[in-house]
Amino acid sequence: MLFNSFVFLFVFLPLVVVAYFAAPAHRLRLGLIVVASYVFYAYAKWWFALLMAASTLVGFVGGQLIEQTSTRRRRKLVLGLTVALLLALLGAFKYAAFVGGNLTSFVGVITAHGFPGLHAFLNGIVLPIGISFYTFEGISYAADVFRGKLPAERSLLRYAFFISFFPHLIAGPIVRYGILQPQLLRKHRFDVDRVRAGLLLFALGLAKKTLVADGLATWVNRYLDDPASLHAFEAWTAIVGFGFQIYFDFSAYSDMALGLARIFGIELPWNFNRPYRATSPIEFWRRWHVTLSTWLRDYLYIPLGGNRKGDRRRDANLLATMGLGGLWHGASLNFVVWGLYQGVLLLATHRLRTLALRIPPAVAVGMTFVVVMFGWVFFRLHSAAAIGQATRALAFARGLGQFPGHLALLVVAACAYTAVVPEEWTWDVKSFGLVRVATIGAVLAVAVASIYTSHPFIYFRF
Amino acid sequence: MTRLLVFLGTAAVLLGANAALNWWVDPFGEFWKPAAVRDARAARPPCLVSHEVIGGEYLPFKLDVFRSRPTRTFVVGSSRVLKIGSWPGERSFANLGMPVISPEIVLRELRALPANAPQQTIYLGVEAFWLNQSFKGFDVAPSFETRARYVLSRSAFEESVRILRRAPYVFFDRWRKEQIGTACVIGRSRPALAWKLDGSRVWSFELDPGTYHPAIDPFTTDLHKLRTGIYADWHELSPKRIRVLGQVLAFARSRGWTVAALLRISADDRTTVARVRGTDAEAVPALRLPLAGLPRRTLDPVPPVGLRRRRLPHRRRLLDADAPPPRSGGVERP
Repeated sequence: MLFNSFVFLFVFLPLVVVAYFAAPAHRLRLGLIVVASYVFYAYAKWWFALLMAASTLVGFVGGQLIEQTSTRRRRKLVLGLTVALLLALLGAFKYAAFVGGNLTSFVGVITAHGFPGLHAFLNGIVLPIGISFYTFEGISYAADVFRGKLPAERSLLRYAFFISFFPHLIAGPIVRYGILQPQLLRKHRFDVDRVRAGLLLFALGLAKKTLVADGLATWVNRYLDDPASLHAFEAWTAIVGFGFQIYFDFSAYSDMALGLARIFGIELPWNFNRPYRATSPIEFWRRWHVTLSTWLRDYLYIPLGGNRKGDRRRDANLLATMGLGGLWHGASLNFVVWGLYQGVLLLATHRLRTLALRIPPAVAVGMTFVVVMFGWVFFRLHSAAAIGQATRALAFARGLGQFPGHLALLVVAACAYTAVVPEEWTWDVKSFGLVRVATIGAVLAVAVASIYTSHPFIYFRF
Repeated sequence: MTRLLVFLGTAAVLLGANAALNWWVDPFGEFWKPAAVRDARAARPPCLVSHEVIGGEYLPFKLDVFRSRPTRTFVVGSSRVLKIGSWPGERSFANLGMPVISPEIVLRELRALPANAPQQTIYLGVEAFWLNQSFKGFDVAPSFETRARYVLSRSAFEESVRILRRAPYVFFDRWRKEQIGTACVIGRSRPALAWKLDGSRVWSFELDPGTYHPAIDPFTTDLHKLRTGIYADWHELSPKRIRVLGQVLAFARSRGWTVAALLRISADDRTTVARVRGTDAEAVPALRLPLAGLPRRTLDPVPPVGLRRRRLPHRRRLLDADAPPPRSGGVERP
């Protein structure tokens, strides 16, 4: 089920909110949310729910076993098994087609024999939406129990709530159990201010998605769907347009998730903080998809050694972390290249810092903006040929071409908005008066009316 | 609480107003408007009904056509049969065809006909693309959600506003009598493409050749590139569709009705059906062997069965659908 769907807005959400606050007992409320979340998830395909249930059981039992195991070595073994099982589910559904497809193609080239049956089987594997997110959440829980940061959860209900809670289920934010657990232990009374604040934030997110991101998508797709026809002006405008499209798309989803969770009395971690104002790629990753970048830092980069073993090892760790982070986004080489590109930017920033250059902040923001935007080429275009064509156009090798006025206007407006307006999740919506509240109500109406032609969320694929 | 109510109330009022406007103007014709057809019927002489009033509500319109006439013979099929109309003054014929029809819709349509309808002769315009499992027929019964999405949609609102700017009277009257060439049409701002009251279609360029001209689609022999995609991804004959066609025939047989199949005319077979008086003779359906080839589940061409003009007795039995191909009588092999 999608947040930007009528069945969610007019049937699912009102029913769940009413039932939640009508339920007298706290455990009943938690159970109701879990059931609702499974319905929410199974709405696309029923077996998705079985997969999530399996992942939940693995994480829950793994956590218990890790805590109950006495020696560190055995605990490490149990942790490894738990993580391996969680990753096996992810691998089977997300990466089997990628790995198997590339292997069979490789063998096919060498032996001159194709494997059409195997190819067809691999291509038929359906990616369960959100699996990357709840797998990472399960891994972080097991790792935190192993490190002693968290006691293992005794209640399967609470753990199932943590994994399945529908606001963050499909596209994050990636929540850690340490943040959620204290909130699950207390009963949430119906607080009209909190509900209103949640609804307002949700409405703002929906408006960002349907009015801004989708508006940009229509124009951006026109250019980037045909990279062979691109020239410099079109390529740069389109790729910057895509940069803003994905920002508005994903941050809108995060705002909606935060707003929805707030309705139920749950505070989720924020994910975006004006990333295009970053003065360096390092800062960019502290502002962009923060729950993913901190997850990668805490559960991948630091365990690999982080920056504790010298500059070369740090650089290698950065590349490995960002490469795997890229692969997390999608089972495709272009995402790996995108991740590695980001890794190169990060290690280049580290190296440049040693030179103690004094770069004016505005110039630093501009440089970061350009290199980050260029990186979206690898994210948006999937084939090497398309990336090559777009890169040539971006490098002015195919002439200037025509100036895409309409898209440029949208990009300038999006740029001005992000430069001036703080992230919506930081707005003090609780204090908004009648006029502002009515205005957001009107914006919500326009956003709902725009759902008819809405594009899917970009991060649903991951 | 007040602010929460103001927030939700503002959104609800605006969405409600949007829905009301879109329902009233119905820019893409998603709601059945029987009063418009009644107005056309009540006019003297009877008017045509504009497509913009009927829109996608083909099924209720065609059923209304059937019920409003002493129908004894009707044709059902895709756009290809829509030019088949009644003779001047003839009231016993109805055209129940509709664009992008599928066997499922045909079955649904037949089942929706009155149970006490008298004996009928059906001309069934069979299309090869019906047997494409990827082809999906027109949605003749949109769900509540589909309709809700439509009336709430911004694109419908924008189109409604466009129509109101072109024809402000629509704000008060959803349609009115317009004169196109020599014909009167119940419509509004762009009434030229229209339906006759027997269910057959009239092109705008037929009504007013001075103003309208036929749209020329670039011809392609590549079926996969056809605009509608009705031949796309066609790998095998759909057993389900063959079964549904069988159900259509079984249903007609259970009512004691006679079925004759209309198959596509070939380029070298200009035989025309007598009642067809359309402008696009190339696309005119001709009688061929009916569904005899289908149970074999093959697309091998069935030998065409020519039909002499004088031998088109639409009021007598032509071919029983499940009978073996006749050697003489209503049809003759060329």
